[in-house]
Amino acid sequence: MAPNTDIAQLVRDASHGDQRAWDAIIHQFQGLVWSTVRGFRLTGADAADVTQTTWLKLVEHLDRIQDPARLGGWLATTARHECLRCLRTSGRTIPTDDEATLDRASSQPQPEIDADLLRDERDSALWRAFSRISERCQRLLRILAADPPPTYEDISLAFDMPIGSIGPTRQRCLDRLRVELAAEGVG
Amino acid sequence: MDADDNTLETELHTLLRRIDAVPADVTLAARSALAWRRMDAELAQLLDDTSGDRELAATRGSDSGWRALTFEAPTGVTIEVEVLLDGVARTVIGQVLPAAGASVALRHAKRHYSAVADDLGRFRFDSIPSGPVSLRVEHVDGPVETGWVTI
Repeated sequence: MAPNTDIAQLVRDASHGDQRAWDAIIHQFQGLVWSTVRGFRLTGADAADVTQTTWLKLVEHLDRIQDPARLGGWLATTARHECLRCLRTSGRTIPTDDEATLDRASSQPQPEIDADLLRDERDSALWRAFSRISERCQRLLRILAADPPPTYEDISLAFDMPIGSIGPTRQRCLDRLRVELAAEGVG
Repeated sequence: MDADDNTLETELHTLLRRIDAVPADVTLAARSALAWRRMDAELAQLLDDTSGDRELAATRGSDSGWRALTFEAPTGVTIEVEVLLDGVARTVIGQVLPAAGASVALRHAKRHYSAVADDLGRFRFDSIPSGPVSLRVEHVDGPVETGWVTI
């Protein structure tokens, strides 16, 4: 993660139209935005539209970003709201973030992915196991996998979850994943 | 977190990053977003966003319905918009207040659409594809641009 002073400078430069600064912001945060959107199971045009709306909203707000330290959280929160909006408009199920749903297996089918991307049986087993853990766990583990990795502060804002809960929740989700993976017959 | 957790998490990260990387066209679109920087216009912020016709949507398929949006600029100019969804096409009907004839542009990732608001400030765009849109109104009180919304 670039230091906040750098982010502040990038935001200032981008607000004056500096494309290189804007590209640097995208490079830093696009993994976070994309993993948030994909965590809501949006695919294809929906995922692309929600992502683009998130960036356009940032362009709209470049001159009002008060605290660059919260830029990642702002982007993830904006993306989450756009995802929920998209799901509502299309009449699809809205995921809940209740603590109680954390350990509940996912009832939603995972969107199709290109099977060629799963290189071997181990990949396939891991993907199937991941698809069965709760949707909330999937979202958290996806966002933690973003490249570059988001800060816990970004995740806290994105999930509306106290920073202190992220570590233990991450642990629980990995435990669930391990159980599901064991059920696949691979450890 | 023990070593096994680290290994499993690393393996998952590697898999997710490989099978679900940000698509190149999504990155390209994001980079081009800076061109939409507001230069001379007031930002009309979204005040209200209501959607409905769930029952209608249920009978006609999930791709129909309506959505009502209200935007307001600091100058007091408001833009009320109704979006009608029918399959992949959207109809955007709106009114600018205070009412005044004005040219209205609907900015869309794929292209620009233009319309003219009549003396009552009413305007209409037909057959708009889904995606992020923003309206720009050349109002007598100064140009106004709405925040971006996905329609």
